[in-house]
Amino acid sequence: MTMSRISASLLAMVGLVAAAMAWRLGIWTSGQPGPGLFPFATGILLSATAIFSAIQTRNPEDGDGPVDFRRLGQYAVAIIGFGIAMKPLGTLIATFGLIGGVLRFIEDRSRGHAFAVAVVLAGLSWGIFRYLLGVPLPPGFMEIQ
Amino acid sequence: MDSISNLMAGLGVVLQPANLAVAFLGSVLGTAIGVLPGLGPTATISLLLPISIMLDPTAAVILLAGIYYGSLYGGSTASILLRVPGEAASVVSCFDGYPMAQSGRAGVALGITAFASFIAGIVATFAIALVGPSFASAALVFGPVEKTALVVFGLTLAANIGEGPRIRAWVMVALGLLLSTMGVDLVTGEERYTFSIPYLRDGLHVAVLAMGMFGVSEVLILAERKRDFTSALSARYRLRDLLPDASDWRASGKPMARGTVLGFVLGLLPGGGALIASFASYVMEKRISREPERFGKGAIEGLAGPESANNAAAQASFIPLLCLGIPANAVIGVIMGGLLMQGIVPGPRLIFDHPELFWGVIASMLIGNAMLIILNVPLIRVFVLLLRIPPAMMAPAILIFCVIGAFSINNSMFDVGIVIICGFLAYALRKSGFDLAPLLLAFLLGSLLEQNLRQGLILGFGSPMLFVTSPISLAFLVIAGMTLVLPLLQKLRWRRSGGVAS
Repeated sequence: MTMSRISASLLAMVGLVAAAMAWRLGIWTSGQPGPGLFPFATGILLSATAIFSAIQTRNPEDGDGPVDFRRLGQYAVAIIGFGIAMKPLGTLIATFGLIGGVLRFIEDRSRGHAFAVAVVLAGLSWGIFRYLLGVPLPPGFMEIQ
Repeated sequence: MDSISNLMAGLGVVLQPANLAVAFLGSVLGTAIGVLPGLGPTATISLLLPISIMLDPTAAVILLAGIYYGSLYGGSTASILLRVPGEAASVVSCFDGYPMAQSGRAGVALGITAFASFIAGIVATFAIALVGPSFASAALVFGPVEKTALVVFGLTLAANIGEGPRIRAWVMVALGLLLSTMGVDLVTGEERYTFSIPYLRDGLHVAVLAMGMFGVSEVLILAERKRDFTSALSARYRLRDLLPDASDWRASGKPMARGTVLGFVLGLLPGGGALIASFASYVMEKRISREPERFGKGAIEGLAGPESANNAAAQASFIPLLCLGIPANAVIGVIMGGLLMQGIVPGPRLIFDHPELFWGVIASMLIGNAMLIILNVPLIRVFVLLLRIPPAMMAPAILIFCVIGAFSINNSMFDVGIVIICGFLAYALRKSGFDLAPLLLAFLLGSLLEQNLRQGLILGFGSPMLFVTSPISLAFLVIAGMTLVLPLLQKLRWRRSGGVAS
């Protein structure tokens, strides 16, 4: 089964579940369209189009060449790790860690280069969001305000 | 004359120092983003939505609009020099721009691109000023029934013109509509698909969704393999090299005029936009050329026409947004999200309720295009240097802006989770061949469609007949139906004729 068929099949299931949940909300209540009418219709539309898509389509060609799954996986871990670490470590440290880690361990940049870019980008993003936009970014365990 | 005087009043708005500064910032940022392959205008505007909240609504839209048409100016640079389009609408610039660069005419190719975009941009701005108010006045008579039909028509066009097979575009339309129903139903107060999570009671935030779909997924696309674009960059460009000579102007004049008109008309259609316009212009120029064999080998007409068309279309696509409240494409959809975040609902009332915004944005296109020609011709060398920024540094920078930007909207870690999840899901959809633009458009139009559909049904005492008895609604629905059915009939006929042939 190709990736596009798997995705289409999953979307068809999502559509069916959504339509079933919408049905329970009420399609037509007190002589008026109920809160479930539109979600029900879109759930059915999603399911029907996804089923057609699963039957009809072939996998798209990736014109850029093969995907480096190891590298992609490393990035995925970095993204999730950043999301998880942002609150306990604080935005500044988490940002520094993400950029430094990505450049040093995934992109094989030198320590000095990774450190310098991480300091600049972390400082820049902190400055823009914390001071220019006044966003109360998570300070983390070190309470960096 | 009214339009011209309003445009002049708009110039007064945009010439205020703060607005002038954001127009300049948008133009520079747009050009820079356009030059850099990978990060397109949709992703960039999504990333800047949290920042745009800081500005007043007029300045925010001027900034976002400047990024959009600035990216079209810059997008051609990478296409011409590297055959790597900076953004989707610049794909066509590769066809003849790159061969021109290979034959030592890179300077002229870059120059004619900037001039074609500038001329089309200026003409389109005046055309918008003339056509826009008529559009808005005509749309004022639309009630819930007509609005429902108009949104259906818009979604049909969006699904038909999007990239990839139509059925996949329809899957994305359906998914976008479904996602738009998340949260508390405003009529009954019922919670829909919130799974008892309080953060979901207000539904998904358009900026969070857009940043995940276009920003985080772009990081994953960049992460797929190591990329390096710098090896092909060695040439230096002097101002003299960028100026087309008399024969170049003779060859480009008519294609520019045709491209501007075609682009403007296509830009008005919901679902249209710069990409379609540039392809349509290229095909048209090739068909009417006496030497079509030159196309693809460095024909300047193949560059001038599409460049005019994409800029005219980009600007014209603001009319459906500002006058009807219908986003013509994904970039305009994100800009609509920016307006909604400011508490401004785009539609026919906008020109009357917020004239300073409407005319300020239109006038900013004049100023923005003037800034862009000044920036792009003499400073092309500076922008070309941007191509030396390694993608390795771009990916984490985009990610930081997406994640911190998502947090900044509601100061909520929940949105951080949502932006990351949306990013991974969007990446999977992109790799499965689904175009995300119809999803975003449908998400934005979903609540408008539902609200008007329900009101229309109530007006008809539960009967949907009102949707076919209103002439305007019927016309939109018939066109939508034809848009759906005609390609299927053509496909069937093609299959049958293929069967006969074989």
